[in-house]
Amino acid sequence: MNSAQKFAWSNLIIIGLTLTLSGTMTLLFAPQHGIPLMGLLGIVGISSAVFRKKRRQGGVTFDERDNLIYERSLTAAHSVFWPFFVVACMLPWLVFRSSGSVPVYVLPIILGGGGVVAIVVQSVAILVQYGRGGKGEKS
Amino acid sequence: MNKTQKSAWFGLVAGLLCFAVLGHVFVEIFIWKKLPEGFFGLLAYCLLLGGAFIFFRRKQSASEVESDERDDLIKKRAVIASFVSVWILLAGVTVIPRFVIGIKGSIPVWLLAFINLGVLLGVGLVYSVAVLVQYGWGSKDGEK
Repeated sequence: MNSAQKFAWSNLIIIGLTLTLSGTMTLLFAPQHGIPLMGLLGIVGISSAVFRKKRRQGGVTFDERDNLIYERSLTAAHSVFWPFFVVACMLPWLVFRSSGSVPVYVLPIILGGGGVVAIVVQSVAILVQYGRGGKGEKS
Repeated sequence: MNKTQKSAWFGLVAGLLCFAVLGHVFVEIFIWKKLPEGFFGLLAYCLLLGGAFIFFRRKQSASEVESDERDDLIKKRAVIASFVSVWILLAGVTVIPRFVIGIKGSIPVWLLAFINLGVLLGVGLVYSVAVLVQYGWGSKDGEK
């Protein structure tokens, strides 16, 4: 498993665990206990920083094929993020019509939700392109 | 000036014009509190620009050269720059209302559509500028 695959798996595990923990706490107790746990998503930033460092080092651990896979996964992530963002912006208009209004704290939630969707899609795209972790180079 | 540069210049000019139209509509709706006259005309104008862009991107003649590896690399870098700009622009537009209106404030749903279009246009402009900057604003390379 190379660094890109580790990056993808760590992202999926962190997001999966965070959503599970947050959802469980919300269901068992109250949203006030569950929602703060979403802050655990910040750990994704650490895995991204470690991965970026390894990627920039280059060498045998990250070749042209890995770069191509990474760029394609980035394109896939943004291709899914844009429709998500358009729907998230247009749906309230459709539901509430022109007279409605949305609280300002909803905007960062839309952005955060879009970010999670983009990271999940990117990670899945990386793993799919490497053949679900079976054919990647050993690091 | 090659095909990529022409597309980038067109994208830059069309994007700025669309920004002007969007700004005009925004001012009419939110400042003057009325639906702008000829709103659908403006919308048709934007669609026309989009359609013209598609035709403009087509090869003009058989003698026009296809893009080479350097053009592809420039376009790839510009796409990455626009991807990065998506997150910067979105972070800006989601945080600014909180400071302007306050955490307990609310915004009209119309504003979401403007945010959407504004970010889309902004990203398009970043792409065009990134292409032109990499070509050195069209002066040094890619001459026909």
